[in-house]
Amino acid sequence: MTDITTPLIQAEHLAKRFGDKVVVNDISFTVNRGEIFGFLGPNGAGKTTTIKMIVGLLKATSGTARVAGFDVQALPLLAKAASGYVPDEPNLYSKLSARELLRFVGDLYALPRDLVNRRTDELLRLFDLTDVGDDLVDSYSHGMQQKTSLAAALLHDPKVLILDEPTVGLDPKSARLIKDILRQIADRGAAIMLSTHILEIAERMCDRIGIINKGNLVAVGTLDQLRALNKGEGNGASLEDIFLELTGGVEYAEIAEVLK
Amino acid sequence: MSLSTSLLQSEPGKFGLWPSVWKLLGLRLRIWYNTFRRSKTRNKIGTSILVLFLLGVIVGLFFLSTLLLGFLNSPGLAQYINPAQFLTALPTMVLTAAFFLTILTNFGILLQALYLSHDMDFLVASPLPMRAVFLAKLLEAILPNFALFCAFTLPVLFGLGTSNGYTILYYLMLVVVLVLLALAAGGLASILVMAVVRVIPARRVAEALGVMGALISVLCGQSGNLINSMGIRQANFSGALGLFSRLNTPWSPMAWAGNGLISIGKGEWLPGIGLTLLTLFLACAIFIGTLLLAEQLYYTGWTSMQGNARKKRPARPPAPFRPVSAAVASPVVSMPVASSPAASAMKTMMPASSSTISRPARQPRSLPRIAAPVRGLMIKDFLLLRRDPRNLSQLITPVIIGFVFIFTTRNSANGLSGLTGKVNGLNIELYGLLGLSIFVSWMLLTNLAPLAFSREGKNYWLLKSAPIRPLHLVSAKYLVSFLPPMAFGMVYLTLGFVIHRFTWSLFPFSLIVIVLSIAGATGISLAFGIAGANLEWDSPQRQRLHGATGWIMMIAVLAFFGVDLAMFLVPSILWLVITGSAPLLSYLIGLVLGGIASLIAAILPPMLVLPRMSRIGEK
Repeated sequence: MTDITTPLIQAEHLAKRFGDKVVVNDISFTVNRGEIFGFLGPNGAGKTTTIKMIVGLLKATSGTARVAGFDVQALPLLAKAASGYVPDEPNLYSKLSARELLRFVGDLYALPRDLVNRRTDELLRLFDLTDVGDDLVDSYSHGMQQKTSLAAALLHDPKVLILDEPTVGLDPKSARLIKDILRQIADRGAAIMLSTHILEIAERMCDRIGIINKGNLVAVGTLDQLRALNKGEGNGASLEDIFLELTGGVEYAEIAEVLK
Repeated sequence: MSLSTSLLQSEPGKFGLWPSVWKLLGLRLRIWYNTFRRSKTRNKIGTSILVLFLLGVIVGLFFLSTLLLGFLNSPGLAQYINPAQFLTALPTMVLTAAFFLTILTNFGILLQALYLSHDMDFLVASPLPMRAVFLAKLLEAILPNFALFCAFTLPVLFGLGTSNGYTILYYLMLVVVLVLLALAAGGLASILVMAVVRVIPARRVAEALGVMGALISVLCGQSGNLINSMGIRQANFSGALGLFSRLNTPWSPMAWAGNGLISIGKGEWLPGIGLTLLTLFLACAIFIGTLLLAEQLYYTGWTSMQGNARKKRPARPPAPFRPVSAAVASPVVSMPVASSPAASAMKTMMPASSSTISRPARQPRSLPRIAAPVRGLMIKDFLLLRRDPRNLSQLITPVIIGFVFIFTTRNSANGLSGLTGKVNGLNIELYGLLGLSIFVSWMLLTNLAPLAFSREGKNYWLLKSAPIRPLHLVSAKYLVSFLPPMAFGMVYLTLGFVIHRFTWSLFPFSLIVIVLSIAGATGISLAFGIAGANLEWDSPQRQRLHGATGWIMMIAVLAFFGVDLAMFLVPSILWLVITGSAPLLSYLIGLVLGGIASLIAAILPPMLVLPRMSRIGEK
C-alpha cells in the first residue's frame, strides 16, 4: 500500500554489471504520481537496462527499485500488478490474434473475463485495430504491433506505465494518439516513465527529464532546471543543446566537419 | 572537395553486371568465412569433419563407380530389370532426378534468399544492376546444391562412361549439361517461388516447407519399416524401376540430353551433338527467360500484391456493455467508448487512479477451479502449438513413428518384444507394449516439457513482467507438457490391446503405469527445461537447451523409467516366479511403489528449480 505522497517509481543506487562491464552505475531517481518522466541517453547508455530492472525483467546487481511502493525484487507480484510495460521491440506471440493476446494478458492479471472482453473491444477501437483484431499478430506492421503492445500494457489500468521508445515505427497519427493517451493517464494520477531518442517528444511531453550517459545519470530535473545546469548556452538552450553538452556533443560537430 | 561531392563525381561505369555479381558472391563468401571463423571451436571441428566425410563419400563413390560394370552384368540385377534398357536410360534418369531435385531444393533456398533474408531491399537500392542482384541470388542458391548433386551424380555417370569406354567428349559435355540444367532448374524455381508467394505469404510457405521436410525425413527414416509393414515385394520394386526407365521418352528434353550424351560417348557425332546442343539451347533459353521474368515480377511488385488481395475476416461486433458488479470490481473500471476522438475516448475509459494500489482482481470462483493465469497460459500454449506448423511438425513426428511401430509389430513374426507369447508364465508381449507406449509418449514429451520455457523465446518478457506466481507458471507448463503425451500414451496402449488381442484384465493396471510414468518423466524434463532455458532462437526447429542440459536430462529420464518400471512390475513378476501366479495384490503393491516414485519425480524436480525461474531470460 502506498500513500499519496510516495513516489510511484523509486530507483535507489541501482546498478547492473555484466561480468566486468558496468552498464548502469549507481542510479537514483524518483517519478511521482501524475508525472511523465523522460529518460534520455545515447545508444548503449543503459536506458533499457535500467528500465528492465525497474520492470523486473533484470535483477539489479545492487540497489533497489520500487514500483508503487513495492520492492521489485522482494515483492515482485505486487510491483508487477501495479505496472504496465511496453518494450522497445514489440515481441508478441505471432500466432495469436490481438484479441487473443489481450485475453491472455487479462488472464495473467487475473481480470474477470467479461471485463477483459469489454476492455479489449475498447482498446482495439481506441488504437484503430478493431478490423484486424482477429488477424494473427504476424500479419501486423511494426506500428500495429507497437499499438497492440501498448493496448496490452493498458489492459489492467496500471498505476505505473513504463515505455521503452514507444513512438518508434509509428505513423504521426498513432504517435499523437499515444502522446495524448500518456498525458491523460498521467493527469489521472499514474506515473509514466518513457525512454526516447526523439528530443521533441521529451521536450513537449515530459514534466521531468533524466539524462543517462555511459551508465551514469548525469542530470535530472525539469527542462528549466536542466537549462540552469547547462553553462554553455545559457537560458535559451534547447533540450538538444543540453543533451549534446551532457553526452559529448562535441564529437558530432567533428563528424559534421569531416562530411563537409 | 567535400565527401558528398567526391562521391557524386565518381565513375558510374564501375558497376558492370559481372563485376557486381562477383562482388555479391564475394560478399556471401566473406559472410560464410566470418561465420566459420567466429564460430565455437567445436562447431569448427564439426564442420571440418563433415567436409572431410563428404570428400570421403565422393572418393568412395568414384571407386564404387568403377565396379558399376560388374554390377550391371550381375545376374541378380537381371531379376529386376533389363540391363541394356537400364543402361540406356541411366543418364536420362539421373539428369531428370537431378533437375527436379534442384528445383525442389532451390525452392526453399530462393524463398529464403528473395523474401526472408531481408537484404533484397538493401541490395536493389544500391547502385548495382538489378540483374546482377538476381543473378547473384540465383547462383548463391544453385551453387551449394549443384556441388552436392555433382558429388553424387558425376561418379555414377563417369562410371557408366568408363565401363562402356566412352569418348573423352562425353565427360566434358556431361559437366556442361549438368551446369546448364542446374541453372535452368534454378530459374524455374525462382518463378515458382514468386508464383507461390503471390498467393501465400512467404513466412507461411517457409513454415509449410518445414513441416513437409520433417514429415519426409520421418517417412524416409521409417521407409524400411513401412516397406515391411506394407508387404512391398520384388514385383513392386522392379515395377518402380521400370517406371523410371519409361522416363526415356523421345519428347523429354532430359531424354535428349541423356541419349545425346550416350551417342557422343559412342562416337555417333551427328545425333549426339545435335541432341545435346538442343538441350543446352533450351536450358539457356529457360535460364535467361526466367531470370528476366523474375526480375520484372519482383520489380513491378507483382509478388507483393497478395498482401492487398488477402481476404479480410469481418470484424467482430463489439461486445454489449454490461456493468461490472461490485463483487468483481477491479482497479479497472470500464465505460463504453464514445465515437469521439481518441483522447476523449481515453477520458471515458480511464478512471482517476485511486490513492492506493490494490492487488490484482480475482476471478469469481467457478468450476473447474483453475487459476486464471494457469488457464490463460494453457490456452495460449495449446493455441500456439496448434497454429505454428513448425511446432506441429515436431509433435506429429513421434505420433507417426509410434503408429509405424505398432503396425510393423503387428505384421512381425516375433511380435512386440522379439519373443512370442508367454515365457515362464510372464506375459512378455504385454511388457513390450507397455515399454513401446512409454517410449512413443516420451518422444512426444521430449518435444514439449524440456522446451516449455525455451519455446517462449523473445516473448518471455510478457510473462516475466506480469504478476504470475512461479508455481502457477510451472503448473501451466507442466499440464501443457503432460496432457498430450498422456492422452497419446493411453490411446496407443488401447490400440495395442486391440491389435494384439491382449486380455483386458490387465488394461487398468497398464493404463495407470503409463499415466504415472509419464507424469514422473514430465516433472524431470520440465525441471531441466527450466534449468537450461534458452530464449535465443529464431526458428522453432533450432530450439535447444543451454549446454549439456539436454543430454543430462535424457540420461536422468531414462534412469527414472528404469527404476519406475521396475517398481511397477517387479512385485507381480516376483510373485509369479515364486508362487506360479500373480494375484491382484501383487499388482496393487507395484502400483503403490511405482506411484510413489512417479509422484516424487513429478513434483520434486520442478520444485527444486523453482528459485531459478527468476533468472530465466537474464544474460
